[in-house]
Amino acid sequence: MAIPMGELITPSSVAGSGVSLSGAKVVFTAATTININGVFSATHDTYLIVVRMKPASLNPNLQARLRVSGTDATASNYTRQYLVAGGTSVSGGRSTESYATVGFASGGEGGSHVFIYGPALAQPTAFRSVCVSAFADAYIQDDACTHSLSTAYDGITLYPSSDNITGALTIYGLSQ
Amino acid sequence: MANTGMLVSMKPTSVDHSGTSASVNNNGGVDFSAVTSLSLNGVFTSDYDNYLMVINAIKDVTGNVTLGTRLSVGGVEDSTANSYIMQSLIVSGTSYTNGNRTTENTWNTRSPVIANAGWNGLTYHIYGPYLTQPTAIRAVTGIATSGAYIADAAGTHNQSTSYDGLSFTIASSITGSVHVFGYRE
Repeated sequence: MAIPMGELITPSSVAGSGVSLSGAKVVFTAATTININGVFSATHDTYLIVVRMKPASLNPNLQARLRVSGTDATASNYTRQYLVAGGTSVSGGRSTESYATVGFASGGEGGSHVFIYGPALAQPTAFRSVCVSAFADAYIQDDACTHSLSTAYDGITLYPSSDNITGALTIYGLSQ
Repeated sequence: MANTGMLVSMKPTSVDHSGTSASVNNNGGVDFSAVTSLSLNGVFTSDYDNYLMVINAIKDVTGNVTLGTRLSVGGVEDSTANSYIMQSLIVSGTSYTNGNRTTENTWNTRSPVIANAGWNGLTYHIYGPYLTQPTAIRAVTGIATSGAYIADAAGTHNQSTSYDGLSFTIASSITGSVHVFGYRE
């Protein structure tokens, strides 16, 4: 029997202004905070979030915080490494933050694939995102982030660093 | 058992090509041999927002070649001038500074991505092609040039049109396979 390589996951609940569930798809309109509960569990080790998004007018990063039982992990335990390419310029950097960065929204429609390794395990979590944004019409931003606490999380909050965003996302469990 | 897998094979309703051959295989992918153009029709639908496209190909004669991509609807390519913008990120050896942005009537890779030196792998993430809004793509690559070479890209298209397919144009013939998947919602 063929084994599906990933499983579509329906959150137990979502919250935030302009945020709703359509089946398993999280739909958001002019959202500043997207709370997603009950998506990480012992069933899977690794997850993929596929998100398409458009900001209202500014150029926000898409940021993320792990959460458990509806409470975000807000301490400065996240480390970010980024790689960007715009025009002929390529650059990178590393910083310590109170959030993970998992995408960049600017101008028109864009999207990001966010891989999350071990969020429901009692060990540090790693993130890796591959993103396209419409900044200057086309722009690459990739991020690798870690979260250092050995806590098991069951949810995630996504939010723009400024402005608000409109779009949709789906979450898949990848491995066990 | 209900199939709750992440990816759904999007079997083309038809394919068109220039060159030796192109046909839909039993899994819903397309095998092609010595083609210089290839069109996949009916691979985007209202069932899914986002898609994954996997290409495995080799150039048929010595050298390497860029890959041009256009969205299409009903088998007709959208060739609107200056509507396709592509940002490249090229990494070769210790050099990673060869980024570039192009605005053309096709998504044209800035760097050759199909080499004769070996088989090349290209993964395209495609966001919202069937929606009546601009489409975004992100390419993640492994190229055989110089043994191993990265030629990633981010592309946007500025037309708010619903597309059901895409087409490739190549300056020199290539052989390989391509498969489009929808992300289950």
